[in-house]
Amino acid sequence: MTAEHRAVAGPGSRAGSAPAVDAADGPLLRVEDLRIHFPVRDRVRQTLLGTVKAVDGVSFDLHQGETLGVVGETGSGKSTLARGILMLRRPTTGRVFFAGQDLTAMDAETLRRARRQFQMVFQDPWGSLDPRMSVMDIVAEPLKAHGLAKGEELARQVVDLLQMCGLAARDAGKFPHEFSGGQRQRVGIARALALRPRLVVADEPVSALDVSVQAQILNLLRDLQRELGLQYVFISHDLRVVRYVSNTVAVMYLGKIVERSERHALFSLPLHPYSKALLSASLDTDLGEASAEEALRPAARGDLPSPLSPPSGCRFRTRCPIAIDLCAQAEPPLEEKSPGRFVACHLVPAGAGTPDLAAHAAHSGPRLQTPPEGQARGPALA
Amino acid sequence: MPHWLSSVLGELRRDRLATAAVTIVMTYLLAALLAPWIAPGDPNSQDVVGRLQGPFWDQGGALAHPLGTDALGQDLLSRVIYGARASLLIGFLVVLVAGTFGTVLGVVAGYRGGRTDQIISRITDIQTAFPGLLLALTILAVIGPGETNLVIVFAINGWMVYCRTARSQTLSIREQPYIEAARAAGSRQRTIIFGHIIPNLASTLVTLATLELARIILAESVLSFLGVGVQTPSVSWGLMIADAETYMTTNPWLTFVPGAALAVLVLAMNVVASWVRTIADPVQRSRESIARA
Repeated sequence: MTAEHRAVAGPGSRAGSAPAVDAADGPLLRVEDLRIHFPVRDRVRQTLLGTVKAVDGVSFDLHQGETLGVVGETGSGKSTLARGILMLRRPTTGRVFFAGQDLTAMDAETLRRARRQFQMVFQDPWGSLDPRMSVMDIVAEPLKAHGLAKGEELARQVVDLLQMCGLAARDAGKFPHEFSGGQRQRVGIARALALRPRLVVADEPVSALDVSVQAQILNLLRDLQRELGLQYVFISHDLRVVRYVSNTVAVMYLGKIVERSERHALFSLPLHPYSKALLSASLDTDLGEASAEEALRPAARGDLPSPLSPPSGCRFRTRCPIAIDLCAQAEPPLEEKSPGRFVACHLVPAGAGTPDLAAHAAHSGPRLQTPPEGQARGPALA
Repeated sequence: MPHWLSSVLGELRRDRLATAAVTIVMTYLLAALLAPWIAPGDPNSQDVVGRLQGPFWDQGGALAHPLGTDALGQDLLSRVIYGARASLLIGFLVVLVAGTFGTVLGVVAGYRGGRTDQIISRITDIQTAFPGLLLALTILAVIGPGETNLVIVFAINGWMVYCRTARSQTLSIREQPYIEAARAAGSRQRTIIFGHIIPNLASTLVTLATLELARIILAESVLSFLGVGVQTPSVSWGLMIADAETYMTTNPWLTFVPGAALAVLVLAMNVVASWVRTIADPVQRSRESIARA
C-alpha cells in the first residue's frame, strides 16, 4: 500500500491493514493505486512510441450511501477510470475491491457473476442500445445473463423497470430508434438497474442530452438512488451536474486525482489551483462574472498537455498560475490537508480548508483568490 | 400463421417488385421440387425422328413438346425443369456450407483479434489470391466431376468472401458501445456473439449469400459447359447450353431457353437480396413505412 493511498483512505477506513477489506463494515468500493496504461505503437513498424497513462495511480474508497462525482476535462482519464473500476478494461496495475472482493484477481466467469452487483450507465444513448433489439430484449438482457427470470416473470420485471424509469409498458415492444435521446437514456438506466445492483457507475450519463432533458434524467437518477439505496460513481465534465448528485467530489487531471473533498467544502473553497480554474471557468460561462475572469482565467490558459509525455513533477504546473521550481522536481502526493480534504499540491499548506484557516488560504498569494461564497456556489440546477 | 411470417408478408405486399421477384424464385423452387409431376415427360427420353423441333408456335413445332426438342430429340421444357434441380440444389448447398464456414471464421477472427485474426486472415488472403477456376478444374480433374464434387469445389472457392465480410463487420460492431454494455451486464461471450454480433451482421450476410447463390448457379453452368460439372444423365442449364453450342446459329432457342431460365432467376435473386436487406433492418423498415404513409 502506498503512502498516497494511506492518505486517501483517511480516518475511519482501514488504511494500512491487510488489502482485503471486510465486506461487512469496509467500504463498498475500494480502488487501490489503479493504473491503466495504453502502449502507443508505430502503425507500420510496431515499435513502441510511448505509453499513454490514462489512469495513473488513482485510489479512493466509496462507502455505503455515498456518491462520488468525478470531474475533469476531456482526456483526464475519467471514462477510462470508470471502465477500470468495472473491469471493462483490465487495469495495468492496481486493485479494485468490491465489498471486499478483489475484482482484479477474479477469473472471467467469477467476474461475470460478480457483475450483478455493479452496473454501468453509458454516455452515448444512441450507441449503447443494440439497434436490432426491442426495448424488452435490451432490458431483459442482464436478467437473462444471470438466469434471474424467464417467460412471463421476465416480461413483468422488464415492464416494472420501464415504469420505474418513467417509460410506459407499451414501450417494451419498440426499438431504440423510435425514442428520443432522453428516453433512450431511461432505457439504459432501466437496463443498469435490472439486476438491483449496489453500485452504478454513470459515465457522463447526461452529456449527450439536451439541457432541458438533463435535469429530468438527473432527477430520475437521484430519485432511484433514494428508493433503491444505490451508490453512484458519477462521471462528468460538468461541475453543475456533479454538484447536483454527489456528496463527494474528486477532480481529475491527466490521470490523477488532484483534489478530493466533500461537495460543499470543494465548491465553496476549492484548494487545488486546478479545481479553482475549473470552478471559475464554469462561473465565467454561467454568470459572465468579470471579476472571476480577471482573477482566475490565467489558470486555465493553454490546453491539456499531451498525455504521452506529461510534465515532470506536478502535472498541472505548465498551466498553474502559482507554480514554483519545486513543482517541476517533485510530484505532490495526494495528502489530507485538513479533515476530509485531500489535495495534491505543494503550495496548499496543511490545515488549509478548515473554517478558521479559510481566510488564510484565500489570501495566501496574489492569484490564489477564491471567489466569494455566493459566486462560488454557482447557479442551482433548474 | 406465426407473427413474423405475417409481418414479412405484410412488408412484401407493399413492394411490388419484390413480390414479383419472390414469386419467381418460389416458382423455380417449386418446379425443382415437383419436377417429376409437372414436367411433361422424361428429360432423358430420346427421339431421333423428332429431333430439333422448334417450339410449338414455330414451324414444325407441336404441343407435345411445348418448347421443342434438342439434338437428341429430348423434350426441352422437361430438361429446363429438371435442370433447375441441379442448379438450385448446388447453389443452396454451397451457400450453406461456404456461408457457415466463412462466417464463423470471420466472426472469430474479428472478435478475438490478435494472432487468431492474423492466421485466419492470411489463409483467406492466400486462398483468394489463387485463381478459382484453375483450382476448380484441378480438383475436379483429380476427384472427378459430379454434383457432390461441384459443391465441394465451390465451397472451397467461395468461403473467403463471407469470412472477409464477417470479419470487417465484426471489427466495427465489436467496438460499439452496446457490446460493452452487454459485457457490463454480464452476458457471456456466446450470447454476445450470437445475440449481438451475428444479428447485426446478418442482413449484410444474407444479401451477400443471395448474390453468391446467383453467382454459384452461373459458375455451375460454366463448369458444366466446360464438361467438368454436371454429367449426363443429370441435367443442368449449363450442360444444356454446352450441348446446344453446335446448333447456336441454326436452332438458337436451344441456347435461349436454358439461358433465359438462368438469367431470370439470377435477376430475381438480386432483387430479393436488396429487399431482404431492407426488411432485416428495423431502422430502414420504419423509414420505408414512413415514406409510404
